[in-house]
Amino acid sequence: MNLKRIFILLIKEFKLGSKRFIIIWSLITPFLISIVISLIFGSFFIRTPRLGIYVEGEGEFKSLIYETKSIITKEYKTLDALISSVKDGVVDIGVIFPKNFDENLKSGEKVMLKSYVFGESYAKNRAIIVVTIGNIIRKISGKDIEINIDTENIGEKGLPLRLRIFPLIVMVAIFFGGLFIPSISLIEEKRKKTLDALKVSSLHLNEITFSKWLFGFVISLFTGILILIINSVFNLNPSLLLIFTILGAVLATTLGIILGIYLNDFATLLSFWKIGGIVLFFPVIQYLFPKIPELISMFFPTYYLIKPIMEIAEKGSVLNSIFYITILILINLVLFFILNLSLIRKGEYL
Amino acid sequence: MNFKNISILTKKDLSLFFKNRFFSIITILGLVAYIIIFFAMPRIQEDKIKIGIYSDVPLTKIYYFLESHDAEVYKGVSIEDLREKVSKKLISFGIYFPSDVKEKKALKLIINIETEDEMKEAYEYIAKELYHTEFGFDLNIESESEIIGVDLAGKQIPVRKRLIPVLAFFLIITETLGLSNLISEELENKTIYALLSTPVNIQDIFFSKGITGLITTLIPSILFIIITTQFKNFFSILLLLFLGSLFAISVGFLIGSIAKDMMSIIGYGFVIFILILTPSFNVLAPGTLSSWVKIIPAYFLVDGLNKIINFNTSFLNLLPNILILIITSGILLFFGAFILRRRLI
Repeated sequence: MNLKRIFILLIKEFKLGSKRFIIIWSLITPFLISIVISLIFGSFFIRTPRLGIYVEGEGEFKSLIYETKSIITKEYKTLDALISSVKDGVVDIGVIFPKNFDENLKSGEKVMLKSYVFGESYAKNRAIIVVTIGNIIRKISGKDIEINIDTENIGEKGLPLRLRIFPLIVMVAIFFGGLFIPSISLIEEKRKKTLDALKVSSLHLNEITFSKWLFGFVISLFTGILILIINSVFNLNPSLLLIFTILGAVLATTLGIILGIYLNDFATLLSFWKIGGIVLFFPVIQYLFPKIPELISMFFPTYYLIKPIMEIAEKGSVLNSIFYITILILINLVLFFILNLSLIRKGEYL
Repeated sequence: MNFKNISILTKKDLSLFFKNRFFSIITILGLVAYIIIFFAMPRIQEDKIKIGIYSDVPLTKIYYFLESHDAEVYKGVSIEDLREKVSKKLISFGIYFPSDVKEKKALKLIINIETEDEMKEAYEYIAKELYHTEFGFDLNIESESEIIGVDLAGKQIPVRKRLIPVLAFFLIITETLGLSNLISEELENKTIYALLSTPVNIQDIFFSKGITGLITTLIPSILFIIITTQFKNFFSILLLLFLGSLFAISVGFLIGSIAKDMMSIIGYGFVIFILILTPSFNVLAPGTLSSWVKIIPAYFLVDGLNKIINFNTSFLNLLPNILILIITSGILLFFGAFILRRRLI
């Protein structure tokens, strides 16, 4: 292998591999992935009850509602906007607070509260909103009694809900670019017959595939690190995270090159992604649904990438980093062996 | 348009699609994987707060109060029993009312350590409210509630059932990138010019690609629906799946007409793909995304499927969804054809 030729080919990949695509993939996608997944899955797992309010007259109650952590409150300027939000399920309950609400409560007059309830909202969300409003009403009306609550926390501390989504974000960042870029690049060269042109030059097939591998690796590593930085995880243990992201990017890119060698069209690659994606992403499912035994995830190669990254995200360090690094190196060596074998067996037919 | 030409072109594309055994097998395996995911999901969806209560004093009013608020009550036999149930997450939290609760105004709350701060505060409010209810500090409040939509409190649709429209939608939408490749490939290989030099015209090519796309997107989603819903509201679902496939084809064609090569299909397509998929999460967790999600036309597909499958909504009520899907597909197809024509001139 000639390093100078590999470098020239790598520059070619960066220049000709659709500049706009590289910008989209490397700079926009990590932000998009991070925001979309956090927003969607974040709200999916953390269902804090949401209250919509329409206020006919200002009062102390508004600031008290906003102070509570047990519900998320959003004020609407019109009654129609409130009803529409309840209809769309944006809020679980919409409440109209009438004029002189505070004064009437303090004077002991009967207060009428009208509310709209989203039919699909959870019963527990409704109950929490009702008791929270009840609590605020007691405070304003002066009927609040100081009750001493002794809270006892029991059980084992698990992974916070917000962190459960993180493996998915990391995997998408490393594997989408790492797997798709080299495989598509190789498939495209095969289809356009440009690979034949390169093969008849002084270039060796190993150099061509290595340059493509390097291209995918750089993009995968870049997006992986960027995702860790965006989510404020990279600074927790930069050296170890860099090692794991490098090993993950190597895994993704090598797999991408192997797919590129064997597959001849884009449709098949997409179909592979549909089923292969489940195998690669299974450890992520285990984090989303912790009831799935961890033992099952251990049979999937990406477990040894996600597990240490998650330990760092959670505790700042990994208990047995050498073990995970060794396993990942072994997996990558096996993939390199398969890649080498594939190049020997399929090389001349590419 | 020449139907004979369209039929020949469609047969060509389909035979190329299915000649690839790996592709055929993996498509079937993909469908099987979705079905497995569906059956692996729980059959019931719990949406009530489960409150464990153990008291040294007789309680009367709070049980009625909790029942009226759709809360589930577990009467513990000891404080240890409550602790065990909380640690095993069999109940949301536990409250212990000691014998001197009324005099000392003090009670004990047992919460699992994993409970989020927001919920901890909510549980404290519930405990306080129960104290007030039991020991007679009523509020001078009259309330009137109006339920908007179908009231599902206590009988929520399980995730498994919510997944049916989402996975059917996913099966259709994932084909978008494959469909864009159908057009892009012909352009890139310049085979489209060879085809145009024969009696085949641009409409014939567009139609044949459309039919190929329709077959490859519609069949897996229909099979999935048949297995998961057993023909319930089948014809309404079929119509929506057909329109959904048409929408996926139109998006795919537009991307295919714009994209230079496979790399740009992935580049543009992935961003569009994420956008199109976004509304499906609103079906899984209603209200997750605010009403802006309706600007994405795919919303009307997954929303329509959800309404038929999970709410037995009548076909007539879905006319707005159907119209929006038809109009959007028409506009996208028009732009796709327009751009393609310009590229071919």
